[in-house]
Amino acid sequence: MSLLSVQNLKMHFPVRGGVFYTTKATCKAVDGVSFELQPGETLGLVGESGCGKSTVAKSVVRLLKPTAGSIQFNGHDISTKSQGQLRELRRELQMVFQDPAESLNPRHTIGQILEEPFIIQKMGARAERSEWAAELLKRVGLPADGVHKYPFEFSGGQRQRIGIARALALKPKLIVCDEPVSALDVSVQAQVLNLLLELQRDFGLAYLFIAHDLSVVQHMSDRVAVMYLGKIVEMAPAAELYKNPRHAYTKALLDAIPIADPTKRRERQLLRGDVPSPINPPAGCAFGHRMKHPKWEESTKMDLRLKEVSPGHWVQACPCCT
Amino acid sequence: MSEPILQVENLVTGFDTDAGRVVAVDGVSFTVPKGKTLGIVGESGCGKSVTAFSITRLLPQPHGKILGGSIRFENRDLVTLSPEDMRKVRGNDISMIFQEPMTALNPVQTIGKQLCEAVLLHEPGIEPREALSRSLDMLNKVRIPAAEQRLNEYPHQLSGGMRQRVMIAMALINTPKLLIADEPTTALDVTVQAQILELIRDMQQDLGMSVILITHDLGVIAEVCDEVIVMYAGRIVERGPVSEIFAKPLHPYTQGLIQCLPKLDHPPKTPLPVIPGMVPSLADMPKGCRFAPRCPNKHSDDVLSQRQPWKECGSGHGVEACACFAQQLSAS
Ligand SMILES: Nc1ncnc2c1ncn2[C@@H]1O[C@H](COP(=O)(O)OP(=O)(O)OP(=O)(O)O)[C@@H](O)[C@H]1O
Ligand SMILES: Nc1ncnc2c1ncn2[C@@H]1O[C@H](COP(=O)(O)OP(=O)(O)OP(=O)(O)O)[C@@H](O)[C@H]1O
Ligand code: SF4
Ligand code: SF4
Ligand SMILES: [Mg+2]
Ligand SMILES: [Mg+2]
Repeated sequence: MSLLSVQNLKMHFPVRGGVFYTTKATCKAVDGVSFELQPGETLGLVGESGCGKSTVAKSVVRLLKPTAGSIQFNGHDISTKSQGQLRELRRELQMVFQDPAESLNPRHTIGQILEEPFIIQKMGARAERSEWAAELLKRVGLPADGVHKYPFEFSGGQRQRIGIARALALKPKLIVCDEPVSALDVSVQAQVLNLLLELQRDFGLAYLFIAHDLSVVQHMSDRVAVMYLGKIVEMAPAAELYKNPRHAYTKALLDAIPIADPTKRRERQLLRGDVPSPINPPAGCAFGHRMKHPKWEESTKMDLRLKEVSPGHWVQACPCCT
Repeated sequence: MSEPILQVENLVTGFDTDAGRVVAVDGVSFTVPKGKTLGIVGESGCGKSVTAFSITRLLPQPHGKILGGSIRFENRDLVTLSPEDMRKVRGNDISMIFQEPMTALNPVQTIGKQLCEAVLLHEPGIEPREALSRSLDMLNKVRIPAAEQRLNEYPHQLSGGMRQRVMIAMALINTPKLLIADEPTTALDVTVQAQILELIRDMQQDLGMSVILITHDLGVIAEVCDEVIVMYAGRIVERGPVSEIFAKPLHPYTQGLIQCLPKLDHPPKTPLPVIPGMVPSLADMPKGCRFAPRCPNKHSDDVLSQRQPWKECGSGHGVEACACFAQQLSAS
């Protein structure tokens, strides 16, 4: 059985606008996303800024109540559960947030922040808990004396690591990681990634891993899903996706990776075209529409559900991309 | 070399905390030539953002203080400028892109209002309609989709990368002379990142803007910087032209960083190389070389007790080096 099974997830936000703030429209942030995740597996999730990755993440941990679709976690349908019923599941399901400022209470010390999960789950005596908190800090490369400090006394990357330490506290079954290492230098980043891999090996943790750094995603993931404007357009085993990208957006993405070598500066083909908006999404394939792709017209008349083109490699079924 | 727009001399910045005073930036000096891009890299927590907040005088109050040194910008010392004059400098000449957008954007004000306010700070007499149209134009330039709609939205309604781009728009809208960009593209995918870097480069060419770019992304450093400084535990340990830093890193910390870069051919899901050991806590920093406990080079024990000298190695490439290491450098 899959640990996590997301079927046809939709998250639509109402938007107001116009002179009198009345005209209503809908922002289709996530519009029909499906994927599965096995215990101990990592699914990488990449895509253009604003394509709906964080919205998928927040729906999976039920910080958002999906507009439609189902989310099965460990055999429970969590898309409809009440917050009270969810508390039980929280122990198994944690999230690392993209913006640490959003998730760390500025009035609590790091010690309080790290002990809170244990308190909620009624685990350990006071002395034990503070020992665990100090241990967690050390695991993410921060001095143990940090437990007495407040979030504002840390740098951006240090705060990000505190968020990771908190998610690890209860050794959950699934951690949804939204840009977990974007604020870290390469050495500390490697240290944190090694820790995540070690915990996965030892405890069978699964990760839904969102990141913009494509070499990090490749290193961490068993499979990778590529999103564009609210939809998954391609999904494949990591090595296969990087070797044989099929969708035009995936190719553009891989082409844009910056290279850490000043002698290889190149005139890059920048991605042009008007950025589409989830507020009035175009018909058919949104990327084809943007790039004025010769096949785009065809895509409007087609069923764009993902098609399996080789074992485990799924891609939108428009003629040119498959 | 063109004349400098910014000269930082021996900057020392600290915080008064419950546990006493900690010094986060300890004697940092560098210059930014007009129209050029200076990259700053360094270990998480080494003092990059605090350096940026010192230049813009936006240190958290009342704990944060500049304890020494000078920051010369167009013949004025920013350290001693009155708060009023400093506000003018920030509105007109120096802009900053903050590392964490949510701490910099006002959560209860629309994007449009915040952008217009930035314009008004720069040009108090401007027509509101003109301010709004400039804001819209700037949002389009940073590739925010449905920009007109977004003017009416609040920060929490935007994605992480959109917030980051709103901040970039706010920093660029008054065409500053110096842009300090603290991790400006961490929430952007590589295609949008490339577009933003191009926008900054265009403004640099058209208006002669100078840039300080703080980033962990060595790929970005390699693509856009002219010069790089490497910081470790509150100090600069190496400085040089970007090509030199990548081709011939001298300081063991810089060498470690370059070795830690995730390579696309590294076997997936296996341990990545790290620099062994940890940065000392700010509360008990050694006076001397702060990397010594992790340094694989041959060195004597007393490097910990005394600040080590700076060694220039030609073509603007310099490094902090203890006697043993300086000898090895001269020999090679
Ligand atoms: N308000 C504060 N009070 C006390 N210490 C602080 C405060 N702000 C920052 N520091 C400390 O100063 C040091 C430098 O922080 P800074 O934010 O400049 O790091 P950084 O180089 O920008 O790191 P990162 O790459 O993680 O953003 C850190 O060790 C941090 O803990
Ligand atoms: N609470 C909300 N109210 C209204 N719109 C929202 C809300 N949260 C997200 N959106 C919209 O949903 C879309 C997707 O946002 P999301 O944060 O999921 O993107 P993302 O893929 O995580 O992007 P990034 O890489 O920039 O973080 C955006 O257009 C955003 O403006
Ligand atoms: S071939 Fe079809 S799916 Fe692929 S980019 Fe073009 S329109 Fe989109
Ligand atoms: S100064 Fe000497 S001890 Fe310190 S990092 Fe350099 S070589 Fe190592
Ligand atoms: Mg996001
Ligand atoms: Mg910082």
